[in-house]
Amino acid sequence: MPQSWHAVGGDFLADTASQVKPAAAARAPRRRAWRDAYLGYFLIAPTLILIGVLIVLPLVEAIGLSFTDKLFINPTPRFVGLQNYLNAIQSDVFWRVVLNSLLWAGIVVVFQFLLGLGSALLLNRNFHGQALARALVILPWVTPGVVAGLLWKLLYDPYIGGVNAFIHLFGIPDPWIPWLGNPSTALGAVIFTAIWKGSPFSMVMYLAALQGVSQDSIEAALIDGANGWNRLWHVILPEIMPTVRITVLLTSVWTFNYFDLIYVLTHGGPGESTEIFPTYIYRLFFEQTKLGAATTMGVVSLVILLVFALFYIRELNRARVLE
Amino acid sequence: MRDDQVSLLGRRLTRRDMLRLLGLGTAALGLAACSQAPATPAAAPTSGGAAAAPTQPPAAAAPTTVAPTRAAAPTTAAAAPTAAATTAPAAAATRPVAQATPAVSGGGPKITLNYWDFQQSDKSILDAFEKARQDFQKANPNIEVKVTVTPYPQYRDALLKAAQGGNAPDVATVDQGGWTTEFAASGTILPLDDLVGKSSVIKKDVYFPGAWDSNFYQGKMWGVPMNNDVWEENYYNADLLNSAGVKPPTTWDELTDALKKLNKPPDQFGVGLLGHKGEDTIVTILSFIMSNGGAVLSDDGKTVMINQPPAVEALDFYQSLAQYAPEGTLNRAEPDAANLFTAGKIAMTWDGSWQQDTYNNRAPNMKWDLAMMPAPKGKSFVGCLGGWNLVIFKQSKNQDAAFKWIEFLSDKQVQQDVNSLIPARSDAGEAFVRAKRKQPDVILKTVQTGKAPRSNSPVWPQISDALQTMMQDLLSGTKAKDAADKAASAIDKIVKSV
Repeated sequence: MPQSWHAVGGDFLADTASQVKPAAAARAPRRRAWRDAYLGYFLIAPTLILIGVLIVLPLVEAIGLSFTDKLFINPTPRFVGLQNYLNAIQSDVFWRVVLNSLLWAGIVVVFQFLLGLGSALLLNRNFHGQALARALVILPWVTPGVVAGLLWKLLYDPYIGGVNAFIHLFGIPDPWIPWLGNPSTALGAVIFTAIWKGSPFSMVMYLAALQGVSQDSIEAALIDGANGWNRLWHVILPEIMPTVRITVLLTSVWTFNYFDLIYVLTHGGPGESTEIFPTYIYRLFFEQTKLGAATTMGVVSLVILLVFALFYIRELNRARVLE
Repeated sequence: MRDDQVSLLGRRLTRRDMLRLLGLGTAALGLAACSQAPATPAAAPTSGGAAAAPTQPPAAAAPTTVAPTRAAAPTTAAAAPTAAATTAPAAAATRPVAQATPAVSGGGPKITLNYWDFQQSDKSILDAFEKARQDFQKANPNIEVKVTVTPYPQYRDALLKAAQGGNAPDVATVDQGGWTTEFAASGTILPLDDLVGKSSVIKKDVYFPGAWDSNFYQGKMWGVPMNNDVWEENYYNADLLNSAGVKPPTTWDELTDALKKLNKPPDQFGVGLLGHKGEDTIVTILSFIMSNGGAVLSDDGKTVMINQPPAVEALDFYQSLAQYAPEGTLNRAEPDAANLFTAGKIAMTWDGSWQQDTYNNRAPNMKWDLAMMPAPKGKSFVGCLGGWNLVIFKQSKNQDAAFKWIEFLSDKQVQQDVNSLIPARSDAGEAFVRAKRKQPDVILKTVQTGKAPRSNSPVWPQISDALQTMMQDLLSGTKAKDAADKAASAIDKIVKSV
């Protein structure tokens, strides 16, 4: 850890952490401790209140709504207990949505990591036009999801689109594949687009982290005869690991909740082949106005994300990334 | 390292705690951001029905998210041509068009009237609307009309939230594709029978019959038609038809013959058949079903008829046309078909009259024309109507002023000036079509004979969803009867649940 942290700490005399705690605790008068604690609560209060009002309250209401049969045209809902949840687990569509969501989020996040790290390593080298390349690579990420969706919808068109024309360039007879219009290729196509769209974010994060990797340790590794792979695996990766973990957490949550792209590209179709939680919830809530059923799906997807997030935050704590 | 402390906040809060909190906060915000702001759908679960409106003005959810897609624009017959498509991405979600406050010259307390509409992009229409608004305010100095427009894809979301959340506008346009009935059933809009009964402007016989009828539910009138158009006309590429020696078909048999001759894959295809999961696919198949004497629901909305012979025959016929369409019918929406048409890839495409400007703009050199859609032998084509009705929300405190505004918008000249779709008044509609559209007689005839089958049921959006699944099954190769049976049992459940 950088020395500046100790400076913030102020009155530490020694670097050895274990000495500090008992000494500090003993020195602090009880009243001051209380006052400082209040100050702490006071300082985080705005955040807590905002989270309470904007997230917790609506969440509680949504969970309540998921136990009702509320429709837009049936404004006084009846309590139906777990019926919405039972309906969900008995429907094929629901399981398809769960599977699609996990595939979608899983594959997209893994490839965003690999591509992000790979391009960050490349762009971290010195070459002419480095700044321009960095700016260009980030373009997909700054493109609005809807615009990207429309662009790719055209690219995927079997006859006038660029994807099949590109395949054709390699001497393969034009395949006329309707990438988005075929249930077996649609999910792959939207996943590919999401990887294209999201990788630059990972790249920027990793690039920033790479700038902070100490040249000394890399040189030391060089002197010790480490080859490129060893330097990456034993020196660079451990140093940027905190960034990697945070980035993977963020991209997972974002991808799981990503709506625009699929909505524009396929509307969840063909059939249910690209339906994921956000698009399915939208369909139930805004298109069919089955508010009870829609919030049920919302709660389920929230639980999946929370399980992931809690597990992940525990891992982060264990690895002390958050320190 | 683990026991280092930040003494700033006293000894209790270690750096680890601090960062953990920060991290949690960030994660929570991340979750929140993802589930609330950027994605409307995910906002649904966390903010739920009524709570949605107060905490989240429609604007918050809009631009980044559901955004204006070409795919969404066609969702109803009524969506303005390419309006939503091309301009909406850039446009903010819900923005007041004008807020100018004219000087009030006394006379009663000042009333502010909120009017919502979906966003039109045509500059001349916007200017005309602003002028109309000023005229109305000059004539009614104590009323100020505040206009809020929303891109089509978010418009329904915004109205649903507002209607449930308590900040509904006084007057709004709602889609004839089932929204009017749905809002009526939800108890959020007013029946207008008394007001219309007393009106000297709004009379049944000055309107196109289909548009007028789309406002009735359970014996009451819930809206006043503003504009309407019909799914669909048969647009064809005249050069391609000529070189194949084909005349525009008038019957289904002739259509099959023509498509056989016009289909020369992979360079040229017969028709840009719609098939994606969306309302544009549904209104198209509805026109085929109705032209064959079939229906999805009986007129009273109680009996499911989608698996009866006339409807099944139409489905079967539609399925047989897929072989003359390019690959990818399962995901083809209205704008995709328009792209193929203007690219010269397809000989025919079936779309509404609002699409004419798009064809002219995108393919100024292409010789296109349109004809009446073919119908089964001995029958005539029945199109599926769509358009917008003006409704008054129950929450409105100024219902009389609201109706005054509706009456003003129902004036012949105003209708002619401010609409980008065919005005619902037949006199204004005729003038509009003759001035702005190719083949006005064909268009007027389809509008006059069209039906609005989607206003039969307050749960149309759910029925439409079942029909979309049916179409996906059908175009994936399921037998028409099997797909229709499956849809019928789903729709029966939906209808009985009301």
